[in-house]
Amino acid sequence: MKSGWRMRGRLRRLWSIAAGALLIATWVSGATAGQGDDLFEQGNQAYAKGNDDEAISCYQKAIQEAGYSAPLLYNMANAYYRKKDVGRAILNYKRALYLDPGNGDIQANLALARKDAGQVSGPSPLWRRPFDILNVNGWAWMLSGTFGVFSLMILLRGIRPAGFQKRGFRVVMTAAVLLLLTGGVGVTLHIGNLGRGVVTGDHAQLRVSPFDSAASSTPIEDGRIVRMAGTYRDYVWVRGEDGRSGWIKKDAVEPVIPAGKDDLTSG
Amino acid sequence: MKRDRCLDAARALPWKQILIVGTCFLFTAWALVIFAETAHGKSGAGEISATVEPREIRVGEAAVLSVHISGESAGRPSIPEVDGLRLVPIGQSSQYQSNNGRVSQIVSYLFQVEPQHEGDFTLPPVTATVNGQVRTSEPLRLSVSGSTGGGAYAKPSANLPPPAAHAPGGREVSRLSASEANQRAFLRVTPLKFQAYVGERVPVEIQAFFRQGLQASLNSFPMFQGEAFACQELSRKPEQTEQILDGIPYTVLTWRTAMSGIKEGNYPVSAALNATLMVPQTSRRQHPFERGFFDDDFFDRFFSSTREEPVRMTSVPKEMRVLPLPTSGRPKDFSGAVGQFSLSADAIPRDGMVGDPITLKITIAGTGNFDRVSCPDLATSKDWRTYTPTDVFKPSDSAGYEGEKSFERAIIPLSAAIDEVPPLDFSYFDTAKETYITLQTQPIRLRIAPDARQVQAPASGYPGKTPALPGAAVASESRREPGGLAPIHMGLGPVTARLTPIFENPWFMGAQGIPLGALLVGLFMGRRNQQRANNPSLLRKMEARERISRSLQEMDQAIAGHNGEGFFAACRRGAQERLGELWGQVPESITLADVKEKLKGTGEGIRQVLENADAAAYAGRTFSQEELRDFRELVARGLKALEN
Repeated sequence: MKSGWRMRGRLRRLWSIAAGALLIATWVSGATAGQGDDLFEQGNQAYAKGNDDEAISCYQKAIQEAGYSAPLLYNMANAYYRKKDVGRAILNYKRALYLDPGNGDIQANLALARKDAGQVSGPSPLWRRPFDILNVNGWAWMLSGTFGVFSLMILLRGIRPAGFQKRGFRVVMTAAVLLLLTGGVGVTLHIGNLGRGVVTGDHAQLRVSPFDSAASSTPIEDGRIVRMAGTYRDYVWVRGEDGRSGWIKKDAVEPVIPAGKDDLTSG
Repeated sequence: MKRDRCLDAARALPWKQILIVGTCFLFTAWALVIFAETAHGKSGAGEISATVEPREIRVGEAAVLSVHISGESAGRPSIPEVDGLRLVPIGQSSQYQSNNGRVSQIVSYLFQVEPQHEGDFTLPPVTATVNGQVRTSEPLRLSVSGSTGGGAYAKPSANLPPPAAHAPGGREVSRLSASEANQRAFLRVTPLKFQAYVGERVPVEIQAFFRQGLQASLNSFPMFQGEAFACQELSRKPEQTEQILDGIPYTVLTWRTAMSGIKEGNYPVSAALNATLMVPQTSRRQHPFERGFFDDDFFDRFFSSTREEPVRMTSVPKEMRVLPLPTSGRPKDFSGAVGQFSLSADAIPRDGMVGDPITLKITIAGTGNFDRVSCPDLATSKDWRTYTPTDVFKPSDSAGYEGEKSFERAIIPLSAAIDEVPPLDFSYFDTAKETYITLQTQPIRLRIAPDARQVQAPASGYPGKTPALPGAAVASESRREPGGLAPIHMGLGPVTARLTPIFENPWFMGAQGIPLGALLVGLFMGRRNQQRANNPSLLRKMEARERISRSLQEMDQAIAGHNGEGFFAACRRGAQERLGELWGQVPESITLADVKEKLKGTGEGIRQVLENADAAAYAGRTFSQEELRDFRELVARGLKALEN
């Protein structure tokens, strides 16, 4: 009897600690989000007044405080675009589109910026549009959830075969397989951003080897989207959409998906 | 006691091996430290020097500024601008030096210095980052006197020496010269021709000859001597062949490159190469006779040792005449291209709207100095927005003398009145015709329509999911900013701390192990169920085992409830199940008579219990709990024995 009381007391204490921790976490995240909201709002006001540098500074601080969001990156890209910094505009449109692939405004402004940089780009093909409903994380969660349901059904059928011989089971399993395939295609289509980068350095040069003294093979324009494959000291090996490849200075190209908030140098 | 144990343990250690391994470790660490220090010392070195030649020129003539940078990691030099002087880059060459087996590079940047007026000029120090440190050269002086009466380029000098005399076609006859005949190794430099214009690229072959059987190692790449020529970078892997010259077999290393003269005049062409020869040393044996038993080549090689002999192989200088480019008839768009070229152009796409980018592809093919071939400009660029072109050179030969240079320039038509890409001009100096040639492309017809996006909603091609502003479903023209930019979004939206995809999170990937494990377990169990379903005897066996287990439970319950009748009924059922499975009979049809007849030995306990069951049922005999427990043990043991 006594041990029962003691057990209940321990449980009550555990619940209190957990609830307290949850409250603190909610308060901290709320406060951070609040700071981010304020900075985002300040950035919007600066943008509306035509003060693009201040707007960019506010947006960057908002990212440092709260994190990334598609509207935040999109607004920052607009400010860069108005500043005629097409490279960073394209970079941030790409990042915004990575978070919200189906957003028409982001797609339109990205196409506009790319056109201004002399790059040909059209709207995404019709077949691809359904896959723009979710971003890569959305598809990954969907894939994971469907895989969980699929595995659970297989497990339950293994435990109680008699209960899972019916038509309903087959329908659920067929639907799960279709969702798995769709999720797989969704992830594959959006995963392409992983190794991508955007040239943000003016007068960047592609070099034949990763040394300062190496001969320059060709210039590469600001705003070019490249695939980054391999680094050596201060150089990254890149291949452009037009097939040109070579070594470029690390500070002249920025990855579409930075490793973390700390990596946010200019974007 | 404890001390003794410690001493024993210490004695048991393999001290000899530990000593050897420790010494090796210390020696390796020491070697690494020494190596690192040496490397650091070397990498710290690095120099920059600059020269200008000649130091006195006239207006209309040109001098050459040479900047030499040595070091492992050297950046491009920063050339300061000088009022009244025009510095045009004319080439870059690399040389390699070897010092104690460590190869370092010397990069030379050459600039043509063209004065715009007379006077004394000071070229400020040239700076470059070498091995992470900023290095500065000495300032240089250049004196420019009055005009020669020519234009920006120098006229041929009246007292220019006559062209050097060489074999027809420029190629050397494959015979040994007097200076080569008595050498174990020598170097040859063979330009394709011995008269060229300034900037004209001349293919040149550098050959290193080593007598066969002689071992050699190269300490450097061939280096051109003098500063009158710019040379392409040599390939790191020369072609290796064998040649017989005057009956002597040689191993020949060949580098093919191209050189170009950078100033007019007669200059020697020669190169040098550092190598180490392994020279065999024959033992000097004294024989009483003129030729002894061991006086044989085989024994000479067998008994001989080799010594290393560092040599600097220098080719016999050959004079080359460098002619200046004529000033008369020089087109305005001449960029310094010398050789023979062809020009073609195409535009993709040819149909579009005002504001749509068009890719203009221009190809210049032929032979010559492609580094001076630049992209032709659009003649009427006010109707176009043009972008910096990109270029790719595809050489057809290893020297980069022959090939194709392709340019891609994005152009945007700014007016619907445009109906063609105007002709493009490219000028070069033709070395065969000895005159300037201007090539022109045909106009490329285009169909440019007015910008339809000025009328339609610009974002109609991009169906929006997230409204930019509350209440707006799709970006519309009325919301657009000047310049066609869709407006900013007002809500911060969902925020994420990182952009890295969720599947790069180890927790997420680790959590996938749970459904994966469930899937594997489910598949295993499903397969087992399938196997059972396909094997009726196995299924019967399992069913029987289940019923027997149930009978044993009923026996326990009957013992606990002093229910003898129930106990023996459960005993009978259990025994019938096991025997039915064993004999392939219906369990209910098995009687005590069958048991007595068929069951011998192993089933003795079961038979005994079944007899007592009959006695209880028909003679009304009763049994205590202890006796029932004994019967249960007998039955359980008997059933177990029958199972095996």
